[in-house]
Amino acid sequence: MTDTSVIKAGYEADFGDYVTLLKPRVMSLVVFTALVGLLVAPISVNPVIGFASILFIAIGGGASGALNMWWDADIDAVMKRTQDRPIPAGRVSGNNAMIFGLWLSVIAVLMLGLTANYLAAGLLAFTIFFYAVIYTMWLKRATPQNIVIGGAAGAFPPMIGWAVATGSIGIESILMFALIFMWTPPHFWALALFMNQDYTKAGVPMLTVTHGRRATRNHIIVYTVALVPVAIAVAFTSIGGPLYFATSVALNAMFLKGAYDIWQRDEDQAEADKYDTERKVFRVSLYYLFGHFAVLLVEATAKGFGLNWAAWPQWI
Amino acid sequence: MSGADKNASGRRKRNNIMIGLVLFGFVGLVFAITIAKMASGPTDVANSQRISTVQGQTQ
Repeated sequence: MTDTSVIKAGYEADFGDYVTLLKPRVMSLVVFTALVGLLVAPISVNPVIGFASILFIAIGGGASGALNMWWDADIDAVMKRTQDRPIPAGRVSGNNAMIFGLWLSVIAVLMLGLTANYLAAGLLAFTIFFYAVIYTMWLKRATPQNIVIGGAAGAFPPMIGWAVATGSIGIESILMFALIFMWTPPHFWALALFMNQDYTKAGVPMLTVTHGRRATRNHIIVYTVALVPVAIAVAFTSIGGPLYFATSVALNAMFLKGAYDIWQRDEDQAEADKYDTERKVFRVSLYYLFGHFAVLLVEATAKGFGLNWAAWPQWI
Repeated sequence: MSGADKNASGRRKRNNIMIGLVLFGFVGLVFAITIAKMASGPTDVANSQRISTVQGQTQ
C-alpha cells in the first residue's frame, strides 16, 4: 500500500465515484447468492426484514470493496483493468475511501444485527474482516494461494442469507459456502491466464506469475474436478431435488469440458487465438455459479407450490 | 458565473439531491423495519410462551 491520498486539483468527487468504490458488479453477486440463501431456507422471513437484510449485506460487501480499493490503490494504478477506479484516477482520496468503507462496515453490521439477528451480523463482520484484512492486506500480496483461501470471503453471503432466516448454520448453508469456495480458484485462474501481464506488472503473486501458466492449467483441472462432488452433493439436501441435480450435472459437464480444454492447450495455441478458450471458460464459470443458485431458487419455488419430490433421496 | 462554476454548481446540486434521497430512504427503511418488528413481536411472545408451556409439561 502506498500513499494515494492525492486527488486531482479542483476536482470534487461525484456521488457515482462513491458508488464505484462499492464494486457494484461484485455486489450484484453478493446480493444474488445471499438472496438465494435467504429464500431457500426452511423458515420464511417478513419481506421488509428480508429486503433490509439483503440491503445491509450488500452494503457490507460494498464496504469491504471500498476498503480493498483503498489498500490496493497502488497496484490498481498499475493494472490496465483497474487504473480508472476512483482512487488511482484521482477522483477520491485514499483517506476518504477508507473512512467511507469503515463507516459503511459499522453501519451494515449493526443494522443487520438489529434487523435480523446477531449470528448473521457476526458472519457479515467476519466476511468484511476476511476480505479487507486477511485477503487484501495479507494474502493477496503474499502467496499464490491468495484466491484459494481468500475465496472464502465471497462464499459467505448465502450462509449469511440462511442465517438471517433461520438464525443458525445448517449443512445446506455450509454446502452453498463450499460451492462458491471451490468455484473461486478455477474461475479466477481462468481470468489470470489471459490477464497475466497485468498481474506481473503489478507484482501480484498470482499462480500464473509465480508458477507459470502450465502449472495454473493443471491447478484449474484439479480444482474443477474437486468442485463437482460439492456441487452435486447439494442436490441431496433439503434444498436440492431432481431439477437441481439435472442442471448441476449439465453445468459440471460444461465446466469440466472447459477445464479439460484449458489443460490440454499449450501457450503457442493460446497465443495464436488470443486466449479464446480461457475467455470462454471464464464466461462458462460465471454461468455455472449463476445457474446453480438460480436452480436452487426454482426448487424452492416448486416446493412452495407443493411439489415435494417425495421419492427424491435426502442423504445429507 | 463562469461555465466551469455553473457546471460545478450543477454537479454539487445533483450530489446533494442523491445524498438526501439516500438519507431519506434510510430513515424510511428504519421506520419500515420498526413496524415489521413490532408486527412480528406478539407472535414471538406467543411462541416463547408456547415453548415454555411445552417445557413445563415435559418436566
